[in-house]
Amino acid sequence: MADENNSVQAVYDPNDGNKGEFLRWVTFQLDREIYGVNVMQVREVLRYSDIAPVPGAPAYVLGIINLRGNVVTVIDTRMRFGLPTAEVTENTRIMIIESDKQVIGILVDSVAEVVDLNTADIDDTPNVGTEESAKFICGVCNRNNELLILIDLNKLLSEDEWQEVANL
Amino acid sequence: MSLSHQNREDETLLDYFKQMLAVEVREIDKAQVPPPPSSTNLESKPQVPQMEDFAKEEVYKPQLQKIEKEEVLPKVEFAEAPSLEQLLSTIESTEAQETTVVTEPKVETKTQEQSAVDTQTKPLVETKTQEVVPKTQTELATTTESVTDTQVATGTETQRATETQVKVESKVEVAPQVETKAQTQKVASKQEEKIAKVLTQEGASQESREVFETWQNIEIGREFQTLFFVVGGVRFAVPLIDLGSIFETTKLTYIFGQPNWFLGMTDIRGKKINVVDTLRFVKEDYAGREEPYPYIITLGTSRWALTCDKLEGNRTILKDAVKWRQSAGSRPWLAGIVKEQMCALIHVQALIKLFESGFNPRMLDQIKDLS
Repeated sequence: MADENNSVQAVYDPNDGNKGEFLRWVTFQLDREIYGVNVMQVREVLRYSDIAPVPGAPAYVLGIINLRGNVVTVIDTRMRFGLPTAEVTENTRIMIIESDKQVIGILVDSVAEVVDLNTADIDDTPNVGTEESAKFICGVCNRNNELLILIDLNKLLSEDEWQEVANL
Repeated sequence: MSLSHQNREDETLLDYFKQMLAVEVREIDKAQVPPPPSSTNLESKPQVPQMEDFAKEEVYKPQLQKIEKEEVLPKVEFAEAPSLEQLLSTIESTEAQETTVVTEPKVETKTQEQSAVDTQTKPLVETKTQEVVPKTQTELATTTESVTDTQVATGTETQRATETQVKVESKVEVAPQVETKAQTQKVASKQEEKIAKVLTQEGASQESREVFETWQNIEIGREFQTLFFVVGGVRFAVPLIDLGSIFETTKLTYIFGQPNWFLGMTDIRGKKINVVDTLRFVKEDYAGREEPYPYIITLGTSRWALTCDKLEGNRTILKDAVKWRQSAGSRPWLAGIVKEQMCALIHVQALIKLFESGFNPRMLDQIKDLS
């Protein structure tokens, strides 16, 4: 099930000279930049609701929410990416995502759209980052004269962190 | 002088006795005729003192005063008292002078010994540089011998003085040793070892190590064109041959998890360019700024670009106008210094390699802390 969800939804365009695969991404905004995650990993997008804090939880865990009877852990995405904190607004959303480990929620400033990107247009980021968060980025792509930063959600947490979140 | 004094004294004594004899005769004469027992007799008793006063005032006093005060006493006062003080002072001064005189020649002898040692060491260092270390040992031995000699003669203070002088000599002796080529090579190799240590400690990649290991300066013709630009008030120069293009800065996309000198990425004609905060990469104490840089300068055909505040145009400069560096040191990105403009000439290829490796040479500033 997880493999099917994580599989890349490729759209072949016969008119494309690059003959590259098209990937569909859900874009969201954090701070001043736009990020994209694989659409197949996004279950749903929720408006912001109260998040119950969990005592003793790691700093990157905002708390838990009740999603139709299921407890979902919400991650502080800004803190995870090393960005400054921000106030919750009307545009704040909780994206419920499904990695190959488990279902979690990530808090984002806003959710923009779903876009198709040619894999040939995706470039690697410079391998100069020394922080762990640099591993979250799987590439950048130009979209309407703006660069989308593409996130690999499976690397958002390490093995131990996934385990820790599961045991909350 | 003494004879005349004695004669005068004799004369005054003779006069004195003559006058005394005369007074006694007069008193005897008056004593033979006793005064009547009346109140006047009581009043007449002071007549004897009158006679004494008369004798003192008229005969005795003037002569004695003249002789004792003017001739004898002044000579005694000015001849003896001051001379004693002077003698005491001179005795004290001479004692002090004697002590200083005692110490000074001893110090002089030491300095003579040390100067002799100096004259011995200088030709030794000049002639045979390889055997400097054992010779300095013998020199120190000779100096310590001189110190032990002076310990018996002088004292602790002079010993300390000589000891400090010996230390100075040892410093002077070490200086020419560092100037030798072999030792400079050793120092350079030690620095390289420290750099290697830092590279390993910081977990630098193999690429970053190669930047330092395979560093060679720019091979360029007798004259070449150079672009001068200013960032944050600091002027840099880049050889045009290694330059890519100059663009006005558009939107920079911040990429999290990158070093602070990495400003972000921008798309220029479909090509993603990594923009580096120039000053933050090369300058340790630069905290960066929020104001955007108006230009970016791409380096060759790479994906890397430097930020720029002001373009000063390009000029043709001679190769001799640059003070070229001979080794990578801790700043491989620095090819040399343009003498006239006094600005850094950037080694573009080395800088690109540093960017690709993700290693900032500012980490090598920790070399100072390594022992």
